[in-house]
Amino acid sequence: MSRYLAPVFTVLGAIGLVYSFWLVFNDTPLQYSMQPSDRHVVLATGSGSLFFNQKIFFWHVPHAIMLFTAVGVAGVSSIAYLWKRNPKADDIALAAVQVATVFGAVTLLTGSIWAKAAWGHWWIWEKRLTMSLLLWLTLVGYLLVRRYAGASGERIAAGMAVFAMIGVPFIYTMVGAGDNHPQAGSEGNVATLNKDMMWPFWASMLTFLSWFIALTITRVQSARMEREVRELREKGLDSGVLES
Amino acid sequence: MKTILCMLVLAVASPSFAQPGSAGSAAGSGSAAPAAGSGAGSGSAAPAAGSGSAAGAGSASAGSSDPGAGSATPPPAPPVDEPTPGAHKACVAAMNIDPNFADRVIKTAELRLQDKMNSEQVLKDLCTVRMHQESQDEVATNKRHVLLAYLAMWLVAAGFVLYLWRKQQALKREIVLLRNDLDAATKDPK
Repeated sequence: MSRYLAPVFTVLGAIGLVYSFWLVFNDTPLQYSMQPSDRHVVLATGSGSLFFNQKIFFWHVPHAIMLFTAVGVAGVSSIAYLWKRNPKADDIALAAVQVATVFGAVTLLTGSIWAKAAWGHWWIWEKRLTMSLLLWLTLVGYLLVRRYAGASGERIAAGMAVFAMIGVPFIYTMVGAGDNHPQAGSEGNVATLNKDMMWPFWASMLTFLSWFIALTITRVQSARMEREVRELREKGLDSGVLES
Repeated sequence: MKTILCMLVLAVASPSFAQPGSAGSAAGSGSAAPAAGSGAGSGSAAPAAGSGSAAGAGSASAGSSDPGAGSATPPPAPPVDEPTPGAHKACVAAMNIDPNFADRVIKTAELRLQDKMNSEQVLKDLCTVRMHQESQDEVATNKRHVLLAYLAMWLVAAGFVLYLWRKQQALKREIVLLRNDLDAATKDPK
């Protein structure tokens, strides 16, 4: 059953990508500003204008939410691993962190490009951006620890994943803390998004959720194969078939 | 009423009507309407006395025989393109005689007015089109960033999928090799 899950979600993601692409470019209005109250300022000064570049929202935000989801999965799996020492939980945590790193990279890249288009700067040291960068660096740190820290690296990395998970709610609620980051919807959440953008947004969310599930399952399979390789090598070394 | 329409048609039909400077003259015709109206009133009261009504409509001084018109303020100097009294007279007489002609005059006046309103609407439409064009220009300048973001997303995703695929292929090969070595060792112990 599990061997068919990844292909099924990959196909769903591919169909969703085409569909959401069509929706985003054909069925969503152009928005001047994410904050309706800013509209007159935007029109008068031209600063902070979104117009066509607001389309980036439909990839940037779903990737950010998938990043948070992946970090949550990694954190919960790491707690399970630290508690029960179950290697399967560790495989899931490793896969989730790697997928989170990819989604985080896309979030930072698309956010940076959007910032250049809307604000005129590739990067500003605003609270949410800085916290997101720190989260992503923590994930990169997790992968480096897993690669170079030896036998104890799994437990150190598990601790880092829990640390990263604790940081996610702070980043998510940072928008409401008075920073300059654009808000999704009139009240800072997607529930108050323009109704013409609601379905395209959720179509993008479901698409990237499919990608997230497909990539995580595939990466878990790889982690299990890596574990199998390690076990076979140990078996070979023990039986004298392989030399160290 | 017929006199007003007649004057309106003649004023609209004059070549200077469409020019900006003619707005004043059109207003001048309008301002002359009360005096003309009084004349028209007398005209309609006595259809047979067409000349009298025409005189009333034709010039404010002629309206001095009418107490109402006489008490009015002195008439302003006639605009340059104001229709001549003779034209008024002929027009009113023709309208009184032939109701169809009156209808045609009214229709013509309505059409001219509609043309004027249409030309104003065209100007408004042009302004709207211009505003949309400016918005589109702004939109066009931002397409580069959208494409860049889309490209970045695809590059990262494709890179990761390629990495996963290569890794899985390498692991599969390694597992097969290790299993073969272990199987061979257990079957043929030295």
